[in-house]
Amino acid sequence: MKRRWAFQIAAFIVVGVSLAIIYLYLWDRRAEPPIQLGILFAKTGLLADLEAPLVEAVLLAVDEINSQGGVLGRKILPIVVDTASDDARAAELVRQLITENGVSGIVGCVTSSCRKAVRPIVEELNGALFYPLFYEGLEASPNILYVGGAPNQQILPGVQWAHRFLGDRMYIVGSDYVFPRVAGEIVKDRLRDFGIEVLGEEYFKLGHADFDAVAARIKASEPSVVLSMIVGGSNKWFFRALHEAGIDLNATPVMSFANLLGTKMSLKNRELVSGAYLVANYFSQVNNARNRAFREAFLARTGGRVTPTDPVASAYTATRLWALGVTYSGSEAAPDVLAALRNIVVAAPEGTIRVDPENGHLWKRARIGRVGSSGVEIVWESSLLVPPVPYPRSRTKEAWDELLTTLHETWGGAWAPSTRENQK
Amino acid sequence: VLIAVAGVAISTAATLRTSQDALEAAMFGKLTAVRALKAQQIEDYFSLISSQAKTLSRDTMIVNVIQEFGAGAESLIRDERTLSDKNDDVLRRYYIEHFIPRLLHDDSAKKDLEAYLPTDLVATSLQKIFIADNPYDVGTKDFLTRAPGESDYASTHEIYHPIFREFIDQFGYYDLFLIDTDGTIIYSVFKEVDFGTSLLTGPHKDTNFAAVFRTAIQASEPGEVFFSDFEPYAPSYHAPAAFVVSPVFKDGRKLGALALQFPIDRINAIMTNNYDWRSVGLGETGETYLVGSDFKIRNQSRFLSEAPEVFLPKIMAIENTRDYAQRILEQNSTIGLMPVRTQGVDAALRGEIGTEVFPDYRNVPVLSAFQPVNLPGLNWVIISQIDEGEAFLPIYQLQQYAFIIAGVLSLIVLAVATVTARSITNPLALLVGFSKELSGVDFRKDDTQDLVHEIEPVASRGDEVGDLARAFSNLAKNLQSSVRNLIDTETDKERMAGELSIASNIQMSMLPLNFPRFPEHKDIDVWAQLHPAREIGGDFYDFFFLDDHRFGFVVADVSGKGVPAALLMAVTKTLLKTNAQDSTTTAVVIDRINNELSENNDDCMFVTVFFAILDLTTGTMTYTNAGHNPPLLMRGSGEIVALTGVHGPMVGVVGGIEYEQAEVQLNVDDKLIVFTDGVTEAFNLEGEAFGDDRLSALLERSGQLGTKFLVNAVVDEVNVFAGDAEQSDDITVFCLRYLRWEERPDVARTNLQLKNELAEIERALQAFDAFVQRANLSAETRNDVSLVLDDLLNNIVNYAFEDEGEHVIKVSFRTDEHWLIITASDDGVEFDPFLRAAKPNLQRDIDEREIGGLGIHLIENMMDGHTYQRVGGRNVVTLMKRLNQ
Repeated sequence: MKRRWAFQIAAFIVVGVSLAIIYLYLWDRRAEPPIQLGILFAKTGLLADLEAPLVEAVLLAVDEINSQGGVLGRKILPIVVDTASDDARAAELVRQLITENGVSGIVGCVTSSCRKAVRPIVEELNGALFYPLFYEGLEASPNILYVGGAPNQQILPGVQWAHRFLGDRMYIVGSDYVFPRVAGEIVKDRLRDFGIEVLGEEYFKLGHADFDAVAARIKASEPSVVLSMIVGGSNKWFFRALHEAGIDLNATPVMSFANLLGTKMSLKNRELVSGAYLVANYFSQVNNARNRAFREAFLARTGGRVTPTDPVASAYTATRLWALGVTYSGSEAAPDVLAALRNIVVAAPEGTIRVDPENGHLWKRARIGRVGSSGVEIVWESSLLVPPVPYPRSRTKEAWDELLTTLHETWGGAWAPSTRENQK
Repeated sequence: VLIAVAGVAISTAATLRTSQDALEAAMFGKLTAVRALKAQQIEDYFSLISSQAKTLSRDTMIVNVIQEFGAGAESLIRDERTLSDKNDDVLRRYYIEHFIPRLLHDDSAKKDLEAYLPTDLVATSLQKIFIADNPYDVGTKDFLTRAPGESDYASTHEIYHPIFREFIDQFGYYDLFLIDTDGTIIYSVFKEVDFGTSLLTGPHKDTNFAAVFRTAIQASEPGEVFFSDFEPYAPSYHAPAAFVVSPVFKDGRKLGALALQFPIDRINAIMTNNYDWRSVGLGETGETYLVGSDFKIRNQSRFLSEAPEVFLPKIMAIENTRDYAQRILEQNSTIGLMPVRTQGVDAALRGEIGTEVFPDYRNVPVLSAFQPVNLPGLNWVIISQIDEGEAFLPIYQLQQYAFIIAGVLSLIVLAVATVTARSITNPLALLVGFSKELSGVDFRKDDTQDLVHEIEPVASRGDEVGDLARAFSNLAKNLQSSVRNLIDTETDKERMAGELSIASNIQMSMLPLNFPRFPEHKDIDVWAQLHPAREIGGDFYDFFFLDDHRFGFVVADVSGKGVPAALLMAVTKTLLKTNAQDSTTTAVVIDRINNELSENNDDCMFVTVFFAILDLTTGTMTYTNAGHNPPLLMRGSGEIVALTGVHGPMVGVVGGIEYEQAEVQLNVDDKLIVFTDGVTEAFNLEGEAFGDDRLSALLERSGQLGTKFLVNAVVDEVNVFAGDAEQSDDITVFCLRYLRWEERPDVARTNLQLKNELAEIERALQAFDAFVQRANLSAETRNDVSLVLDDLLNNIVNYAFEDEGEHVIKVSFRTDEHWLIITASDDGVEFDPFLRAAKPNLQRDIDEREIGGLGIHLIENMMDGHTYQRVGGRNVVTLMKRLNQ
């Protein structure tokens, strides 16, 4: 019967078309190979405590991006490797990540010595390193994006603010390795512009614990502010010595340039720090929508134990920037990614930032916080984005390079005097 | 067969259509509410800026400073040291190293050094000293307070710079400028490269700043305020900047102008709701934005902010916006860059207000609500929108299910037909009839039970036809239950409930919710509760001090419920509070809001209002009842009196009515209970109303309770009474208890009458010193208040009077144990020196806070309260300072 056939044909067509649609739909959603991102921090060894939160920040960004569909329609595959706090090993790992894994970029290194060890490898293999720490400057590599602050974005604004609002009698203390040494030179150059010589300048081996003598000297010289580049656990002993010497931080403030907040301190020791000024580009108190979301997500991820600090926020931003570079260039090749990021302006937890078109650093706001009983209060922030100047203008590039070479040679080809592992 | 299939299709389509209309109406209602809210916030922000500029430009200090800076700048160029050739190089190097590289513009033509480098002497000298030779880095140039050298300019700068710096910090401006009549910027806090240049002849003479200055300097009256729109501004490195300029006069002579550069951040924060669109009910794709007459958006686009990788390709695909994508990408900003030329923008620029569906700037169809914004000198419009895809998502889901069901149904019909073709007749005819009828069923209302009954005989057959019939009856049942489910859950209820709860939060935030509100006033005690019947309602109450002893309060009920009522409520509340500030009687206030509300009241909505002003010193309460339930007055003795007088019809129906008012004397411990008809007309399940008698009985029983417990008792009783019955109307209960002012007698009091001469100020200050002695006040109080008083009187003497005649300024000081209260009144031009909107209070470093002459600034910092009133043709300013015992 004719009609019957007509119905059957219609039914077949309906079923056929449905199958075709389902097939096309599934085909469109087929899995693409993931894009790989190297994550290079210490999970063991001396620096593990300090660097662990940065790994979490990177993974947080990766998870967020993946949950929104990844980049270029592909998932990000994070490859986390452990430097074991060893610079030579870090260099080896970078070679592996680039040549064997074929990562598109690497977020990693905390210490300057790690960065300096890794740099030749990244340059040789034309990779991309996203370095998340504020540092002493005097560097610019075409293969590195310096996501942390340059000296003129933390050190110099801090010194100028101290000069304007705290007074001009200054005393410098720091740990003895490349960051504080260079920072000390930059500070002294700046103060000379104001016609000021520092009252004292002292550096101590990493992990040094006996600060009684220097506390006494500080007290005797009556500075209006102590500029501190002491890093890590030594801070605990330093602040205790100041306290025992009867130095009241409200009258003689300490301004710390070295991420005091990343240092593990007991509650009692935190009280000793109350009244100190901190210089950074990011504090968890920064008030904007991006940071609220970031802070919440990060706290949730770490079980509320770890408050994000400047380097943690930079590690997160670094990862976001890398993903943006991939998206905008449409390529996972390291040079394309870096090129696509030039001159880009993005909203980060610390606020709006801009990637400098020339020197591979970021434009960012400088901030000064004060430790109070209920956490850090931001007392000043720059009204404009501060453009990065990796080589401070007080000396020529050659003069700065010479300073580095001299330090390097003095320390026997290392970036800190021997007897202890390099930090920062 | 065809008829059956068509029937299914038609019934499905009809259901979809009705749900779609309902959803669309609800969505437009919500968009309109958000749009109105945001427009109000933007207008408030501009009026705040405007009043600050106005106040500052008339401030005595500004007038003096502009002259001092002007004279200083002139003497500076006579200083030989600044004239050597070397200067030019220093400055040139600054421009090359620090300015040009920071320009956001890619166009190399805009990076021409010579176009920016100033040539005249004032500019080069000032810029050399305060920019190029300034030892602080770019961005911290404002740290320099004392410039080297002994010039007059440097000394003036040292005194006033910290004050101005503090001012812009506190109020969130980018910069403050003083400009002389030649257009020369003789002072700027941040000292960008426009500092020292002339806006009439210098390198920045073609900017929006220069244009608005040229207009402002033509003004003939002090206190006029002119706004520029946002435009890329070279000295701000081509970031969009906007300015407000107000001319400065002294004794009728024009001295120049004051300008403030105001930030786009605040506007952006308002429009993007701090990058939190969801909490104002804008879902996943909704946003609000401003568009200027240049068709460029004035705030950040949600789509760029949330998903740039989706947004940018989208706008690159549109011909008109393609060219802008690159700069939007590079600046990560749509502000002043993204072109928006949609139907809605065109209509709103023509002055229309409306709602419509059309493609937006991404070429995505949206539901949009648009209106012009009322801003001084700016032709902006505001849009709120949400993607059609999201708004109608429930419909689309319903549609999908419906198509699947309809498809399955049709297939079965086909199958049935096939079977029919094989074994002819009766049972099948019955099934065909069934399917026909099924197609006519409106699943929302009718039941398929009867239909299923009809085919029961066939369904009981054991053969295929029986199977088919059973399948049919199951199908009918399933179809009905799934369609009902979908309609119930997916459409209105769940979504609207979530969104309305947001609206409800917004609305409740407009009511004063924290009690007690006036801890320092021992003479008054208020408490109130409001329970909307739906998520949002039309009841409201409000209360506020008109000055130190007059307390105004209002309870009102807007006709209707839901979103429209809530909007009218917001409008009424605002109108009432605004008008109450400068009217003297309750009748006049109600007259005015009645006129304003009835003017554009096409929907014939109305408000019943009970508004009263209580004089705390005497206990006299003046009130006007416009169609509201009579409030109950509980005397201290326990007697309950209803204030039955009604002084006019409900507000908003007919304009031009003159309302009356009545007075009643309150005694100590008297309580006034004001409520809305939601209380007396609360129904229980039996349909009984709560009624006046139950209320009176309750009050008699609970007469000894304080305001809080009394209000709670009434609300609880109504809830218990109503039981499980649905609340039919909003319930509001407000209670005020009066305690006597005389409990705090004046410790000291002085009244003065001054002539409008500057010499009289000294007399007032001496009188104040004597008063301080007598009242035994602290030296700190004396110093603070003297400063404020000096500035206040200076401003009155200098600016209040337009003619040269003699006027009397009345000043009084009085104090009780807790407060020092100063009143100054003059019969000059009507002028409110205070800013009505709330101000940000940024905590800043104390070292920076210096004592200075910015009158309002001083008052806000040093006094604990202030009011302004226009009473009997006089400006009355009352200042209050809390005394520490």
